Amino acid sequence: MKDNDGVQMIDCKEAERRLHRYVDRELSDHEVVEVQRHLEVCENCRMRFRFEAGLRRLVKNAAQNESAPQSLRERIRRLGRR
Amino acid sequence: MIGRWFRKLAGATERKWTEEDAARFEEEALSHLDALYRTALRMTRQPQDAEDVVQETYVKAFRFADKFRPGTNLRAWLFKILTNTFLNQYHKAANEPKASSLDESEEYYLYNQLASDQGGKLSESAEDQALSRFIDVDVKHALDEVPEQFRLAVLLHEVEGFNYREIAEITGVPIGTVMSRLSRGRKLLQRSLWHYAREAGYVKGDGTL
Repeated sequence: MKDNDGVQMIDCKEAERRLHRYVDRELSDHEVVEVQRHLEVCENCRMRFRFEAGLRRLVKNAAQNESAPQSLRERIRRLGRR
Repeated sequence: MIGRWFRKLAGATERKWTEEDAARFEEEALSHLDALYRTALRMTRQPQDAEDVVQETYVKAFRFADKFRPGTNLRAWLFKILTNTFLNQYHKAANEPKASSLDESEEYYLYNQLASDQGGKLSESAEDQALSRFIDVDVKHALDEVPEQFRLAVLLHEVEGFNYREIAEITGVPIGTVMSRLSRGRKLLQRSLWHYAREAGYVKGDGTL
């Protein structure tokens, strides 16, 4: 079934199936539009998508919060100059 | 002063490196040090091992600099060397947590657990509250419990921002395998985070916040 703009309507099951690839930006443009259209009308999926995106950020922030020791940086600089 | 690795390349017949090429290569390679180190640290789980893997990665990067095609993705190239170095030196299958026992877990486990006694749906504030309770150390420990090939996919994607195709190239597997590793890695990570949330008392025994 298509809505007034000719966008294919998808159900919650299909939206969930696309959730990871949507958050990962790995869907095609028309698949993205279909998901967005579904999220506009489905609060349940909207919250689920929001949570998954939040979780990605949580993991990113935790693991990124780490830098290489200065001594290692210096050793590697010396490697390049040997 | 550029070192020996460059003098070899300057004499290469295929494509001669200028001193400027070499300085740029070295500078750009070093700009990825923090990213390589944090990935190595999450993979080896030991700072000293992480330093060794990273150092070995740079030794190889300088030694095989002529194999790098300028204009292509240096960051992905370095991560590929890091991944191979890690797998060759530190991969000890026997010490790895097994995925199988946890593998049957459902998709979106954490959300479902947190939402289960709230009518199956979390409000925005309940979502934010749930996520804000996890501190970095919980997340790092939860990641550490995910078996290595799944952990690597999650780190390369979530933390380092590589896309499916780049991860396939870095880890040397088809894109379909990358997607399945990411999916399993995320399921396992959510289980693991739920475990930490329970242990730390962020959620009560019945799952309420």
